Parts: sequence; structure tokens; C-alpha cells
Amino acid sequence: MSFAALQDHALSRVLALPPRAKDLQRDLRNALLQARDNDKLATSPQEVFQLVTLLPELPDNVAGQLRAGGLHANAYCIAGGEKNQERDRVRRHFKRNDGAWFDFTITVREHGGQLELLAYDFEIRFPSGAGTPFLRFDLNLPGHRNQDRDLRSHLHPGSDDVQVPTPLMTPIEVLALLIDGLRLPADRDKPRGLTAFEIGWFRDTHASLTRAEP
Amino acid sequence: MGRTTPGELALRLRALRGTAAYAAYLAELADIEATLADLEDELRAIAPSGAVTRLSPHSGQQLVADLGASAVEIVVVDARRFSPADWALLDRRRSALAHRGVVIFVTTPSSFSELMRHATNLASWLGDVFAVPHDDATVEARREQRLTALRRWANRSDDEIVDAARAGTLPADPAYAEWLVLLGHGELLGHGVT
Repeated sequence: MSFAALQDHALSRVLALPPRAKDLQRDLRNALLQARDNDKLATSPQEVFQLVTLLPELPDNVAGQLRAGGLHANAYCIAGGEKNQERDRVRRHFKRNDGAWFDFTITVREHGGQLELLAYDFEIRFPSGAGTPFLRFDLNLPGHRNQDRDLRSHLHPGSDDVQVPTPLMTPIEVLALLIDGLRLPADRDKPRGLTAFEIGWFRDTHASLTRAEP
Repeated sequence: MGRTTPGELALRLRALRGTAAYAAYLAELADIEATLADLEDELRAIAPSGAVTRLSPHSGQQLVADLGASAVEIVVVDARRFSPADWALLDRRRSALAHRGVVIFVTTPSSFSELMRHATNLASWLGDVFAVPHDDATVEARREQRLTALRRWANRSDDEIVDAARAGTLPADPAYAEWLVLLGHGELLGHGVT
């Protein structure tokens, strides 16, 4: 079965984005500062400023020899934290008040007074016992093979190999989800108990990982 | 004198809300319009609506009049045109510059030198003096740091990534979009959503 109709629906959503990359950077930073003011984020305001960076595309005079057609594309990366595919806690990241920690990267292009969202990845890692080790929200490059598989916008639910179709969101919406959402419900003070299936699953997984170690 | 971005300065000024504070922010003449706009945008983003205004007086006398008529809490003063005579006048009339809120003079290094020479009393009011940072080296270092992480993660070279993008065989992950931008190849990204 194809999920093309689902993905078409998700990707047709009109996103309200600021006009410039630096405006989006500012909006993201201020959302993080507000979270700090509300005690949802443990990262200091000074660190928020250091971690949310805008990296413009290399200027023509530097990259010109390499660029096909010599067209400057006005593309930008907005980085929140250090690049961290290894999920190494030593690399700089944002810390939530509950011990979860996250980083993100967004790729955009300024075009005709509008901002075009090209790709993003937002990954949050949880403390042990939180039910899942991490969640990653990905928006892949347009026209990519994953779009053919109906999964340009997807979620990795604690596994790099598993992808779940997700709605297209603005970067501010995903950030809000990472800051305010993905927490225990307000009426619970501890996670729900595990079933025998989950306990067995974790034990079996641990045993297979232990066997696989050299 | 330290260097700080408009955003970081706005954060410091936000912390001074509720006090009477004066500061100076220095930018080269070619950058001053963009600096003023950035600082104003940053302040408007973190301060309540109506709490920020910009004054662009053509003389010291006009600043005295404009500031006296303004009850806005955070006042950004475009002071790039002030001559030694303007600073001297402001020094003499400094009591008329008393303001319930934050006043920040945005000006050039040379005009600030004139302030220090001709308005020594006013200069003593300045709690913070910052300059716009030269961030080219910082941006380049961050770019290289991230490229190094991407190369290590994918175990591929920059040329391989560009070749794959041109061939339409670039792998799935959003990290490759970042990689292309950092290399200056945004033209290979295709079109996204607006």
C-alpha cells in the first residue's frame, strides 16, 4: 500500500515562516530563552546564544570554483548545538529540566522575500526509563528517494532504522514539541509500568547486545 | 571594551529593564544601519510591544528634545552623525538626558572617540560599551567543525557528496542538506516548502 496520499496531504500544509533565515534564528533562540525563563530548559541564556548559530552558504568568491553554474543559492544552516550523530553527551546541546537533551539543524533558503524550508532534523534523547532512548524528527531533502517512499517528513521512534510518517511542521513547532511536549502527562509523577512484553524485550535486547560485544 | 552580537546585547539590556541605564554600541560606518536594524529587531523580539523605539536625531539639540518627549522604556539612539560640538552640548545638557529606562547610543568608533574627548561626564554614565564582533573567523571555525563531524559520520569526502548530489544519488538524511550548504552548494538542494 502506498502512503503517497498521506504524504501529499502532509507536505501540502502551508507553513508560516519568517521572511529571513536570521529571523528564524532569532525566533528559535527566543523560544529557548522563554523556556529558560519558564524553567523548562536548564541551559543558560548565554549558552543559548552560543548554541543557536546561523551559518550562511559559502560566499561566491570562496566556493565559486566548485559551484555548478556559479549561482549563489542564498541557503543557510541554522544549527542548535553541536553536530552529534554519535549521541555523545560531551558535545554541546540543550538540556531540559527533566534531564532530556536535544539538538537540531535546519536548512533553509531565502527566495523572493520568503523563506523556503528545505530540510531539518531535531533529535531529543531521554533519561533511562523514559520509555524510548530518543526521538528524531526529520524532513528530508525535496525530491529525495524517501519522498518517493512517502516519507519525506518522518519520525524515528528510538531507532535509526524505523521511520514513521509525520505531519510537516515549522521549526518553531518542532522545537515547542521538544521543549513543552514529549514529557510525562501533568497528572502523572512517574512513567506507567512496563508490561511483561516490554520487560522481556529489553532483557532480550540487552542480552543480544552483550553477546555482540567483542 | 568587549565585543558582542546585537542579540547578546539585547539580552543584557533586557536584564537592565526597570533601571535607568546608558550604554554604547560601536559599529563601523558601513555596518551601522544593519547593526541598528538588528539591535532593534532583537530588542523588539524580547521586550513587550511598544517598549522599544529608535531615535535618529540630526544634532545633539534634537536628541535632547526627542528624548525628553519619549516615555518609551528602551531607546536606541542612532548617534553616528554627532559631531564634537554635539557631544559637547550633550555633556552640558546631560541632566536633560535623564530617562526612566535604557538608552543605548549606537555610533562609530570615531564618533565614540569624540564622545570620550568632548563629553567626559556623559561618558561616565555609560555602564556598558560594546562593539560589533568580527565574526568571520568564528563562523568559519564552526563551519569546519561541523564539516569534520559530517565527514567522520558518513566516512565520505566533500567531493563525493557534491558528485552524488549532481548525480541525484545523494543519501536520505537531512544532514546532507547541511553538508551541501556548508560547502557552498545550495544550488543542488532542490525546492522545499514555503
